[in-house]
Amino acid sequence: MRNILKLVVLSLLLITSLTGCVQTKSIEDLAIINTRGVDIIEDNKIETTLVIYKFDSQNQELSSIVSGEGRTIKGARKNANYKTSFKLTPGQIRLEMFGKETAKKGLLSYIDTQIRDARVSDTMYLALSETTAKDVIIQTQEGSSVHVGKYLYELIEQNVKDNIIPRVTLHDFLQTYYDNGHDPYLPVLSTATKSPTLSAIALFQDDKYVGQVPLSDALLINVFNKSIENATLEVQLPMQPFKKYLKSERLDENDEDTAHALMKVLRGNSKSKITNQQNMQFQTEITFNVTMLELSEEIDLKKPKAKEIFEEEVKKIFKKQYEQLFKNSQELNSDPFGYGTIYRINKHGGKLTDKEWREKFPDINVDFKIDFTLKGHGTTP
Amino acid sequence: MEINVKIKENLRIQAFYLFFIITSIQIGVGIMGAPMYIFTEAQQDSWISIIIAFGYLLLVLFVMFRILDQYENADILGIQVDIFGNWLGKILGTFYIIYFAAALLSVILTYIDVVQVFIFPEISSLIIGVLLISLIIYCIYGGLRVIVGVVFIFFFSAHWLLFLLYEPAIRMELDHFQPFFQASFPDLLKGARATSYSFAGFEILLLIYPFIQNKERAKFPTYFGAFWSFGLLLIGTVISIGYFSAKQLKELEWAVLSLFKIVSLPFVERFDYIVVAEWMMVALPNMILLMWAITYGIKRMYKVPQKKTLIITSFIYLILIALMSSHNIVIKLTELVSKIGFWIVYVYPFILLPIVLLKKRWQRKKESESG
Repeated sequence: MRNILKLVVLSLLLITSLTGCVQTKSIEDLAIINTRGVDIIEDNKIETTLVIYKFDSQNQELSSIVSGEGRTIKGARKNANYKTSFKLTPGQIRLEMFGKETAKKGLLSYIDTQIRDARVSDTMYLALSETTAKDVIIQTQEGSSVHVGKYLYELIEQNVKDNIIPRVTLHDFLQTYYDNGHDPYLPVLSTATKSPTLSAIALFQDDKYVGQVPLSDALLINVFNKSIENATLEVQLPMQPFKKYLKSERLDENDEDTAHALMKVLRGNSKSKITNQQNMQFQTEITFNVTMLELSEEIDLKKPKAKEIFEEEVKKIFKKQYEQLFKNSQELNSDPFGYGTIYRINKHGGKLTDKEWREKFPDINVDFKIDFTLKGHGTTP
Repeated sequence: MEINVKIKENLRIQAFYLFFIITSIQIGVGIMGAPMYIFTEAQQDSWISIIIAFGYLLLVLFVMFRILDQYENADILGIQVDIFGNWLGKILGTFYIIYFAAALLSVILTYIDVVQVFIFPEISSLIIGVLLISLIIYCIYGGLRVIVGVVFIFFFSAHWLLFLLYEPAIRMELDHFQPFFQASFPDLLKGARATSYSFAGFEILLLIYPFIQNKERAKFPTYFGAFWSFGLLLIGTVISIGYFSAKQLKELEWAVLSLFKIVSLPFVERFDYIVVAEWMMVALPNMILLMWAITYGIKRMYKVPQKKTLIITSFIYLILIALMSSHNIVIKLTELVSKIGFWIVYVYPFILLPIVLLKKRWQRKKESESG
């Protein structure tokens, strides 16, 4: 019994003295990096712009911006540390933004530092800036009263949650990057309208930026990667086929030629398969189950015929959109859909190199089949 | 040296605890890194490798039981002396203990390495070493029944980690597994062999068997314990393959730990930190059981009191920890242990069994002749 007591006392002593073994990090001395912008400046140097949080009672400003230069990301952070009395810690970075010029040269070398460091979270989002990352961060700070880091991060997170843009965390980017026959993509932020806005989806060849597609295509890409729900869809329809099914009898002279419909996706998913291995013929089936939220013209959707025409029209529009998006991505030779993966699975041996797919991708054909069902139309049909 | 061991009634343990003992000693630090090693060999068909390994594991356990059943109440150390004579038997027994000691060293060093990589890069290994060793000493002092109790409690306090795997599991890409059945049979076997380090440890059965009270019921908990570890390794590997892309996984040293990096809850942003700390609950039973095996083995063969060996080995371990804590050494040591372990654990019983059977038959014949 006395032995055990001795042991307990000894261990307690050990435990209390153990706190001296590691460097203490009290939160008042830390500046927690929330957002990091990475740009290449002249001479291949890296400039990082950091949005930091400080938890100091003396300090009124909760967040502030510091920047540093260096040859490596960590070096730049060290350099930035000279300009602040707080210790910069990278464990809570929520958003990492890259300038477009930087992205053209390839992102992997910057992202590599994140993988190597076990303390960096896999859940942080990646994004591109239309100009430079610094630009977006500075503009946001000047343009709005909210915290920059919180604003930018939540801008992306909100849209990811609403399924407007695909989720691109550090892990997602790396997974698509390393999967042969599948190229990553990132959302693009621009400051054209003073406050930062999502403006496009950037497509990559491996880790290099090659071009972008409009934000409206984001959902179309998103459907390829997961089954989505709760996203909104907006389409523009020609009025011509619906002339017979308008609710009001009056035939106004200034009736619009087009109708706009806003729908909520209840369930959207895709299924792709290879139909002809020799001719590289693929088939993708996209299913959208939607409910109507808003319709600019009074089309009587209660009539089965009208509903049918409506569905057919939307299908046509989607097919066209998909074909356009696919053509664009073929021109850029970047495969955000992952057709390469399907090809690899069906290939004998199951191996495919990135280079091989680069050569093949521009020549593949995809037959898009859209399955569109209007499940409901709100309280008034 | 007595071949059969006499264990006092109050020191014996119920057979069903074998389940916890076998699972706890198998699942330790090995599972954290196993997916990478298996995947390098068998690619997307790694799960088949693990199933093959499990089948083989059951076979080894069956053979071990056959060996033990030939005796009244003996362990491997006694059996070896009985078969090979006093000298050779003791040398082989010493080998066994050295193997246990090396395994323990690799477990401690690996865990320290993980803590340094994931949480405290600047902490000295010696300090974590002192902490771990003092915990081990404390448990061993309590005797086998306390050890089994610790194993039992830690089993439950560690398994909730499984729920956290939900997050990476829903992000799995199923096409990482396709096309199926691409690995050749030799590759599958190599993959199965790569599991040897994570599955090893169950050879403690050969040492702990005399302590079991109701031996007739020992088989089921043991097989089920092996099945449990098999299930955990399978889950870990399958999720890793689905979650990481092939090129990533091939270079990811602690794949299973990295899975937890995506877990983020409203009250704990970075759950991976907690997981690494919590992993001590997984690794500690492992260390305790191995340390018990070392000290008990030495006591059994050389009649040195267990407490004395415990203190001496602990000191040696502390010195070794201070000297050997560099990542490359840890990896090399682990490879060495898994190589030696493969022969000792997975092959040796198959050599031992026919000899034991022959000897027993010869003995019976002699008895019937003389009788």
